[in-house]
Amino acid sequence: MSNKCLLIPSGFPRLPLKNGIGRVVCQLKRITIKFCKSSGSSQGVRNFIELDLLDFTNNNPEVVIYLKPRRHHSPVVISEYLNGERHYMNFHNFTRDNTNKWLNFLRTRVGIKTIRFRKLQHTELPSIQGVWSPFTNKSPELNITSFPNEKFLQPKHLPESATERLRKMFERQKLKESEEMKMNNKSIEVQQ
Amino acid sequence: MLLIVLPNLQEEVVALYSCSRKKYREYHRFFSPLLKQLKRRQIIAPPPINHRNTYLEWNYEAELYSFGKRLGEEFDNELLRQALMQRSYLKKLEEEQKRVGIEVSSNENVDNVCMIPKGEEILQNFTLLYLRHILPRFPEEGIQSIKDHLMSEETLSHVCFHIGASELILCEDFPVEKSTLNSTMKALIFALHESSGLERTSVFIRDFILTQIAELDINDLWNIENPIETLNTICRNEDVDLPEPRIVGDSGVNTILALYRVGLYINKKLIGLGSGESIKIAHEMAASDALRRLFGTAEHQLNIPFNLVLNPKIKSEPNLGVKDWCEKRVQERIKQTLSLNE
Amino acid sequence: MAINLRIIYEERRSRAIIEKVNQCMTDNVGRLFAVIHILGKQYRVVAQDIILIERNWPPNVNDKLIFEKVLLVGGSSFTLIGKPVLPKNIVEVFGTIVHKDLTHTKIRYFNIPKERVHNLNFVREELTYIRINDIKVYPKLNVLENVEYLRK
Repeated sequence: MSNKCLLIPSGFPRLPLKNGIGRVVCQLKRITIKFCKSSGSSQGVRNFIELDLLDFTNNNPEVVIYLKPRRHHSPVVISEYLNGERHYMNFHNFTRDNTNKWLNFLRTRVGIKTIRFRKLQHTELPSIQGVWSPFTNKSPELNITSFPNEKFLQPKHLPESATERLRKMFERQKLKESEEMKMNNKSIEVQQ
Repeated sequence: MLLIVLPNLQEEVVALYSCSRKKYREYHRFFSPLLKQLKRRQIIAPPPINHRNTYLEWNYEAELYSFGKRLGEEFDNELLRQALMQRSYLKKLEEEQKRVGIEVSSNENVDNVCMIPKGEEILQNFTLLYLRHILPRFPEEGIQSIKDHLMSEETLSHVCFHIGASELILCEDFPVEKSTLNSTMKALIFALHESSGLERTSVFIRDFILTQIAELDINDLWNIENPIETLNTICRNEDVDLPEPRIVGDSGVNTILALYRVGLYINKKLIGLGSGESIKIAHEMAASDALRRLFGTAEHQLNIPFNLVLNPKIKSEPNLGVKDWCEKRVQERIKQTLSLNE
Repeated sequence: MAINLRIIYEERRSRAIIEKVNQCMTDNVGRLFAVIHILGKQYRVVAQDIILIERNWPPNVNDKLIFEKVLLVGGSSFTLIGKPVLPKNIVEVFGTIVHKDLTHTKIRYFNIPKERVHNLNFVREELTYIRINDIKVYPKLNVLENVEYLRK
């Protein structure tokens, strides 16, 4: 992946506490929603609190939600994750649907700061059949031979020469003839 | 060049060509030097960190409730509170109560001191049971070393922190020390055992503590001191000829970066392959490779399942030690354990 | 005659190889790797490793999935290569969806200086974290299940 964004740190994907191997643990610990009771910028957040908050808490009992009504503030959501990260997000002029979506996003997140992923995969076992080394697929005869050796002087892969092809064709023809002879002898015996 | 910061990108600052029409918000030219100065001051004198419970938004009961739900387990509320209360905190409370003049009633079952050794026992039994079940061919010394790693202070404190218990612990020290996290983890396991039973506790241990082996190389945890001799003892136990070492490949022999490849053969069959800077090192590596293949813990062989449900009431017998290790006896033990599980 | 013999010989040989591979798959298989095809991309995967999938993908957190488009499975002693995909009754790759996140802000900037055309977009795509739990292989090579034969 290209590094067009030099100011965003880069890293590799990791999951805290081997999440997923045993159980999937929701990484979000608690959310603090700071909003204003009267100003228009918190209208969406207020609607969310009135209508959707209870559903959210019922579906996600593992998240603790604190509400802080504060005057003359634009609405803000601070989410804390299991690895200690605090994520601050401004919900200024968000609609009710918007707050729903973003709160859901905060819930399903890992508590790692946004980084540019250098690889979209992580394995501990990059090779099972064995990493190639110059020794793989070399014939062990090389250990015993002393160089220069005539056999190893020859090129490894030569295409089939014309004489070889002719010789093989001749041998195949011989085989055919001998089999036909055998068939003929058998049929003669059967007839008799 | 304009510095443009868009509303939702609080972490990223992007420099762009300046537009003829100033559509985007600008920041004053002192803004970025201000941020740099603040960061420099933060590094010199970092702001004081307070415990989460000093904040206004803190509800201990709600936190305990969600703690249980997060793990998918049901804790008895009193037992959970007891597990999270450290002795040091209790002493501090009692001292303050004395100072103020309130009568101090000595309760035994308020802190987690009694729970720690019991939790440790449950942990130990189940980890050994599971490890012996997954790795029937691995010698007992190896299993003990894996168990020691899993029950070490580092692993348990790491698990405890990442479950979210570090802010719920009532203790004197802040930031919470590893020893406190370690003991709280064991107390939590006992609390879970008392609340939900042994089966659920064993599943919990499997999911949170045993999975810590997942991305490790098990062979690194157990250091075999003399691999050649151990291989020889195993061969004698099995009444087989001792392995013959042969150099299988070499390169750069009389140089600094010499490489030797040694293969060990029993009856002309290759059992282990190792490489090293000298013949001796390569021989040892070959012996440890052969041992790994025998024990079934080579990289391409080891496939640990983390989803087995084992009966935690079974008392597992220790695996064969390295001195008694032999293929026949291993097979017998596997049959025994299968019959026990049925 | 020679051609028939050759065919018979090759059939026997292929059957022997298939039996041998089936046996490899029943004995202690050990660690397996597979190549999976998800959302247009291919990932080489081993049990307990993490994959990230970019762009919109419906499955939610905590869902357990079986990945059926397996192009290749291999172990230390055998490899099975699908043409292009292996049959479902042979391989199963299990995974769990662990998290859903957004990528870092990517910049899409399109500029043709001479024509004074430029477009600037900031995009954050959806990202799904998957943990591969297990790869299982069943020794059912050359065994056709659920096959309906056409009758003339």
